[in-house]
Amino acid sequence: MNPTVDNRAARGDKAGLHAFIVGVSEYPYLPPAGTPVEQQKWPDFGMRRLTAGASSAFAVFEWLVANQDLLHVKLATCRLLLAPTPAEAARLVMPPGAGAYGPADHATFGRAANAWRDDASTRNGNVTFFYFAGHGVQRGEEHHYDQVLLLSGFGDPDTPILKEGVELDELTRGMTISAERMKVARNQLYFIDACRSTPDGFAEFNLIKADSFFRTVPKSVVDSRNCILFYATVPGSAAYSGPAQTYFSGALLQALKGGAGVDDKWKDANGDPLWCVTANSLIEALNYYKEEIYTRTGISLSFQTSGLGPTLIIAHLKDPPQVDIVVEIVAPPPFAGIKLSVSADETEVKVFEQPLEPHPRPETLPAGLYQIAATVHPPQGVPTHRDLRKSLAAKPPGTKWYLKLPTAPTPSPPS
Amino acid sequence: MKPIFDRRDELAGKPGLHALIVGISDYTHLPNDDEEAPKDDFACRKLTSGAITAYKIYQWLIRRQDRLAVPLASCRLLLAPSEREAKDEKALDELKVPCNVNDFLTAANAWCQDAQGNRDNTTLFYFSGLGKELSRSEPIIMLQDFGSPVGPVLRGTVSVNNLLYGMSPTERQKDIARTQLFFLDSSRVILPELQSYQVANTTRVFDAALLGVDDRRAPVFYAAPPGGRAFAVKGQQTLFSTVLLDCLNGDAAVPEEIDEEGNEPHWCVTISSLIDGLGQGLKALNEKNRRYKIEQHFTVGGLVRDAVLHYLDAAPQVEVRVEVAPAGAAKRTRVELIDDQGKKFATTKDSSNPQIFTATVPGGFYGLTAVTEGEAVEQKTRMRLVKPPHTQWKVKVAGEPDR
Repeated sequence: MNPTVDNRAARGDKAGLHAFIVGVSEYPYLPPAGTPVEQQKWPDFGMRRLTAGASSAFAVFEWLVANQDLLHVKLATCRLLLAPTPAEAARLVMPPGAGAYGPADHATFGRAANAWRDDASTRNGNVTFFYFAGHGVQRGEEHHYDQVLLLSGFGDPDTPILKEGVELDELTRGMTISAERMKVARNQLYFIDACRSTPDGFAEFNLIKADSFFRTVPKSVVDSRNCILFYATVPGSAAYSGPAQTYFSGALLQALKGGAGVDDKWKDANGDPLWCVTANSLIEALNYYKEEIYTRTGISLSFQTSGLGPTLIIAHLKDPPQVDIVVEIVAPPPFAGIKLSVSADETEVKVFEQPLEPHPRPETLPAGLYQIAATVHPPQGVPTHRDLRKSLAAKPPGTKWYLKLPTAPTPSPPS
Repeated sequence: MKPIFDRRDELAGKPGLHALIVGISDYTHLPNDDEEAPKDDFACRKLTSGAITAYKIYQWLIRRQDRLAVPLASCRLLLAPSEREAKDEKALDELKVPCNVNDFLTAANAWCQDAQGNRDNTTLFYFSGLGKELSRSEPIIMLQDFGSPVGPVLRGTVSVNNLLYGMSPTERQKDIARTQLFFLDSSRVILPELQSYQVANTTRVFDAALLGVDDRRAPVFYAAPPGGRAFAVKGQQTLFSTVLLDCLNGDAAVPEEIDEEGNEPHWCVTISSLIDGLGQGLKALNEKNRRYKIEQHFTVGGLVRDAVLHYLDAAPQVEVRVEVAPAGAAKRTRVELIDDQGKKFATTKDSSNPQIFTATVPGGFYGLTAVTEGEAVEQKTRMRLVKPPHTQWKVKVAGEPDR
């Protein structure tokens, strides 16, 4: 299957990122979204058509294409399979230069997966990026808690239950380093934006096996891949979605756009930071947005990960990301006349006057290190002095600055 | 099973850390480490580092009992040392206990019980011994009676997923510790295809229910990636534990966020800094061990969310290494570090390389100035965080470029 975005010729013999993105909303064999669920029974097991699977996958695709030159390993190919609802299909505008997306059924998935794996197997330095949004089910301990992703034909009463299923274990094991594929990408990212619950009705059946899709699943030689999986939820739980986008993809994109920015690397001799998003920084940012989603919607999410290891840079950021700062003065002294000066590289960027209104005070600053100084202007002619002096980091995605101000100097009696 | 370290009464009502540490070298039914491995699917032998490794982790916990994020409340220790370990470290002989699967079940369930009653509790599980992988997402650990001819092939093993999910907050254990740390210091070589009935017969430790929202911090630190091996020096601790302890002792330290009372940050090791620290530490160790042609990798899974694990007693001393370019000007340059309170720290020029300046300073935020004789402008750099294990800096000063 031809990739939707194909930069292979331009990449030449350089390593590239090979993406495979799948989003399923339209499950024609399932009842429409919103149909009440009475029982989780065969053949639909209580599942309904979705409204945001395809648009979430498309949003991830758009980010990848728009930021292809900022990826640590540049985009070589992207295969996109979508099953959008009619409303979603009407909103999809392919970026310039991109081809068409394919249907998200099992047969097409299999062809795309094999082609994706072939591309990924050309150089060790390659990176793979897999994203799936749609229905998913989890099998229990007897299947090692393996998750099965459900493609658009799921629910057809004339076919085996998981004929349209993709075992995540097959996907990740099929991408292992093997005698057949010694040059497969050593860095592999998987984003699984689907439920991990087991429908009650599964208990009534034996041999619920998903159809295979890789031509071969060879035995691993030494699996020294960084094979990192990010899950939208934990085993036994559902993944949630708003009407137009899944919560996980929303958090993921915010994180990739800068919320997960870190500056551990230095781009030049004078210490200008190189902002980037790493697999490890993604975790913390996802957790931050998860809390934000809870505050906003009351929906409690549990993201999970596996395979984290040494730092792996995913993408670079053009500029320091903007950080939501909350400034809180702790135990404010009982008089006005305190000025808080926030400087970066000896240049004042912000001034806060007491009393701070509102308090705590929300601010937005570019990520980085700031020096904070409090200048006290006491009311009775005591000389101005600086008592608080500290460095604080504005760390994406959000930081709280608790500032303990100096107590007021005792005014000297008039002579 | 009673803990070997017990402050539960003293800390009653307060959050505490409950540890379960298991180190097995002496596997009853397996051949010695210098004998030929059996030609079955497992090809396992006795070990020489499992018990000593676990003992060192135990010693560290005891030593740092009041500097953990929550104080150490209980520690259960299951050690099955090899003869060699017991000879080299006398304490191991005294601490030796049976570590069969039933002993493990007893200890693990008592540990799980202690973890309940306060969501602010923390648990720590450390296993050092044999391990395998049933499938990519199903690692198992092997207890002392693994290989026994009685019962199913995998009776003497326990699935890591069963431990992880068995400790999850469910209706039955609503108030279980929400911070749970798992360290699996064992190999994860994938077993050849076993029959499904064999795979299903690991021993369950807990009723592992997959229900509801899991709001734990529950990272699982593996000493090996799936299919990989965990290495050790014979008779000494494992490579993973060596780096882990270095990280916990300060190599992975970062300044804590300023607390809600505005107090100055303490230096601490967090889940996130530990992941970064292990990456750097193992990379350095692998460089050092290159001639042995072994590489120790690690991986982290589970529910990763940052939390403080351990507080240092003071800001760590960090070696800063500044490289000045161009070389010609470096000879005439003086480099100073300046902390965020304006205090200056001189650097020393490396005798073997005049471009390198070093200083050892307490971790914190520093800027750098480089003054070059004969040049009007002094070079200043941005402030940056100086943190362990070491910080490297490059600075370009005015002067003729190197040819």
